[in-house]
Amino acid sequence: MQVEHGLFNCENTSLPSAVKLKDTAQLVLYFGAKDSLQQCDIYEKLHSLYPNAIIAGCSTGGEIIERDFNEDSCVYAALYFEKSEVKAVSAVLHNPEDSFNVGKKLATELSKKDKLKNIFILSEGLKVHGSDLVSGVNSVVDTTKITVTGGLSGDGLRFEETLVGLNEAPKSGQVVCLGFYGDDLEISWGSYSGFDNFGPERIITKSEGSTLYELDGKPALDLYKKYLGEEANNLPGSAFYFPLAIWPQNEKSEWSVIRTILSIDEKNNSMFFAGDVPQGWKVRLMWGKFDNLVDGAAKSAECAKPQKNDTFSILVSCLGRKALMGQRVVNEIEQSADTLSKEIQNNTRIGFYSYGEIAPHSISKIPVLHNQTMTITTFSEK
Amino acid sequence: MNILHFEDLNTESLQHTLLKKQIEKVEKYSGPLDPLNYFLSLIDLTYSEADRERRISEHTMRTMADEVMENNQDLMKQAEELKASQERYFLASEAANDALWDWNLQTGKVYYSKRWREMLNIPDDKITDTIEDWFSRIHPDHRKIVKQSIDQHLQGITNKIEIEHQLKTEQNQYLWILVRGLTSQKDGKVIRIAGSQTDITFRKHYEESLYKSAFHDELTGLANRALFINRLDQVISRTKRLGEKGAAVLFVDLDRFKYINDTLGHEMGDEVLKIVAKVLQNHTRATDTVSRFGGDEFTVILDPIYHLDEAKAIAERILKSLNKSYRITRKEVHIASSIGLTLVTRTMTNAESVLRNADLAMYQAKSGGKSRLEIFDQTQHEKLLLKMQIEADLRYYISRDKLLVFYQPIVDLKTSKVASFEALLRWFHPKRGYISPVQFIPLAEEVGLIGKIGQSVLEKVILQLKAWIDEVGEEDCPHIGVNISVRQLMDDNHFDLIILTLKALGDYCRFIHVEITESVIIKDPDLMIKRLEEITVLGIKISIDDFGIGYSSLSYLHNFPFDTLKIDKEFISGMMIEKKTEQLVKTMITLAKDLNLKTVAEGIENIEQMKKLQELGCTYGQGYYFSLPLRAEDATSIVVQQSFQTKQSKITQ
Repeated sequence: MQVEHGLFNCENTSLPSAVKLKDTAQLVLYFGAKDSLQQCDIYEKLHSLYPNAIIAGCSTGGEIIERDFNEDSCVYAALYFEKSEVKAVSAVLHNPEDSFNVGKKLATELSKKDKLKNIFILSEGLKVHGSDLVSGVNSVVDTTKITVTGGLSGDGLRFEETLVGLNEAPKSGQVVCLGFYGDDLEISWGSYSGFDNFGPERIITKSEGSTLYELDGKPALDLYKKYLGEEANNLPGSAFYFPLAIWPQNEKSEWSVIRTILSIDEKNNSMFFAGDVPQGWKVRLMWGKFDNLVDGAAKSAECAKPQKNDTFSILVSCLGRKALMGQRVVNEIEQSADTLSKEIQNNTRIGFYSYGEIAPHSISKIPVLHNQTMTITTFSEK
Repeated sequence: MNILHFEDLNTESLQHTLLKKQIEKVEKYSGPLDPLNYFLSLIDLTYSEADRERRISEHTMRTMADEVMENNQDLMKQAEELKASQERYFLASEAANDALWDWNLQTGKVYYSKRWREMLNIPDDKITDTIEDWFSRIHPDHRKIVKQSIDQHLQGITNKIEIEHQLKTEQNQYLWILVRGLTSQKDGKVIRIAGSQTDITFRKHYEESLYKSAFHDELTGLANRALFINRLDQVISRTKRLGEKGAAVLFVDLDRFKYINDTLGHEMGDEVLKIVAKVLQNHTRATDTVSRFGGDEFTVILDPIYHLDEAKAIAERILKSLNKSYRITRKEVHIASSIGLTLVTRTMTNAESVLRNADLAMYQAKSGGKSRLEIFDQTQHEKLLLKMQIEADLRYYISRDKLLVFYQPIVDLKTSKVASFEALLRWFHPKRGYISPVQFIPLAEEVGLIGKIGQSVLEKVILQLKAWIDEVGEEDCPHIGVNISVRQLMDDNHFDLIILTLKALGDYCRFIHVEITESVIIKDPDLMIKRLEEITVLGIKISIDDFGIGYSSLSYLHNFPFDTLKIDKEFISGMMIEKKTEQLVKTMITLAKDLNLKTVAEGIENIEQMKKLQELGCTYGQGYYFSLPLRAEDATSIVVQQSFQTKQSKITQ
């Protein structure tokens, strides 16, 4: 496989005028800040560079390219698979309640073609039930053979509007699924957070879908504010500090998934999460020390590490990690890069900070929506 | 002062990734700030971020510590409340003297409270925490019901466990225990059963003694009448329902028990009853029921019984053991009993009828000579039933003085005048009609009514005699013959009463004839002679009734103070048919004359007989030819008429 990649921004557009994979690239992926995407006419530019390629991308909360982190930029990668194929489908998500059906519909489309190896999802980041979307996909494909990875698009810390596009200018309310096919295609993935549980175990006593009202019979928002202290003034952004580990009541905490706050509602004393928070599940607050988060990213990279040269990795990290680590996000990017490219050549990486990561659960192996992880998907060909 | 040039910096030696990244960033920077100030802003941000992380970290730790402290306080408070609650429960259970147990079904372990061990006297180190510690102590007969009770509660059939059973102490004694328990559920699954254990031994024993006193005879400890009837009803209904096996009932009555009580005292009587109880228990099986039915009556249910012989064998063994002498407080006491036996068959409807049959059989054993076993027989039963009804009626008639005395004239065969009357008892029953004395007198003798009857007749005769004397005067008053039975003569009390009654008559005694039967001669002749002489001393004459049919101990005749010999009607009726009989009658009359006795021919039915007797020299005649026995008023008419005629003839003379 061959990869070309680059970074540009509106003020200083540095897209090359000529590219090697101009005619051969099958897929161009891009991740950019919402403003950049809207102002730069991104689709038109990439389409003119790679007229034959599927062009898909989304808005972010920060972009990753190689060992660097940028904000207010746009990163892209053009892929040419010698032995594999790519198919892309998209759908409009009019209502978050449609999430399951949209996932099911798109996966059905992709399943029509043989030798499906991976479904990579780029989804609307706000008006979606991410967990349902993934469940919809899972309902169609054999998840023991086909990996499902991806991420929810972001809008920095604004949480206003996210954009996703397939073969057109990115727009709100879109879900794009990319299917990667071929016997020679190899997919590896890793998804870890590095967050640690702390404080007492609690129970979700009142919730509705992704909205959390009460823990142990007391308002959850009050508990958050207590823990945030003066940072409570910076809600919802500051809630990234304390994601929740949730798991079914009759399971052990190893089965937990992480949930991050997307927004709060002072009037209803509720919090809205990037994923469902089922009533009756157990909960512990999580706390990420910078060093541990970096270790989490390294662990993901270790799992997604390619075994050969000429590979491509997509890094989807949670916006919450960035909010927490500040400038130190470069540490997790560096650490991931070091691990992925260790002892091999030509591992190309782009990625973005998202509102949610999609990957199989580390224990159950069932694809789910994560929060607060570094999720890496690596593609290579035999 | 711009002494720092980024291009001069040696970044190779730097360790810190972020710092290196920052320097790279400054090198690529093309913004409005000069590189140093831009670099400083990045460094400044890094410190700020680190501070922020530290601040948040510290705040988090503090908050968590506070929360943990708060939770800890809550927990401590809960622990205190729990402790207080436990103490309350402990005090309550101590006060109730109850023991506690708690069976965790998930671990299988059981908690036994200190009181639990104390109740069973188990040393602290002996008991472990298994359910076997409990179950192995349950009485083998109760294990099934205890397990059943627990299972039923576990299945939700009952809303609690509540079961009385016996539990073995460390010293192998059984206590009566009441166990109560409830299950506790989690996620719809029963995870534990816990409850209390109360020692109810005292209550149980009290209940048992109450039960015993309600259903057992205090003296012998045997079942009482109520319990016996209850058991018998059960046996009857089972026999009716299943029919494959039967049962038998024994009715045991002591002979002469009243005599023992009267002569040796009640204490001795009680000892005898205890011995009888013991004998009955020794000869019966565990499945049989022995009861003291009342007084000296005992009843036994033999259950099961497959054949009459089986029951008979047991009854005979009992009879044998009961008919012998026992040494009681240095005295030799002879016990004897009569036993009635009846089978319980499918046709039996109730305890009452079974008991009646056994009682009847016993009654037959008694009347058949006592100290016997009699097996109930339906035909005999019917006869006996009739007899018993007659007896009952007789008692009723006697008590109401409804038996009548009739008078049959005895005629002087020379003068054809009524010389005397024989007083005869007559019983007219509204349903059965006329009942002959032949039928009821032996019965009256058997059941001991004869004395009463005899006395009543005597009194009536005396009244009648006085009435007649008043009516016609002593001169024309006929004599009256009264029958007195051997039993009346033999019995001291009866005899004394007769003498007393007759003595009251004074001089009028000469109008009375006492008629006795031949049987007197063989029953204790010396006593009889003595007693008859006591009667004759009063001026009363003695007739020997029904002469010739019985014992014919003619040699004795002269030893007795007889005045008249009454020839039985058998001879009179046979006399005209057989020469031999006529000869016999002739001999009797001759013999009587030789012994200076008058003769009365009984049962004269026609003129031929009368003439023959006149011919043979018989003094008096009696029978239908002359007159049937007459009501008192009719007899009175004859007396009056005869007196009138006598007086008239005197006038004419």
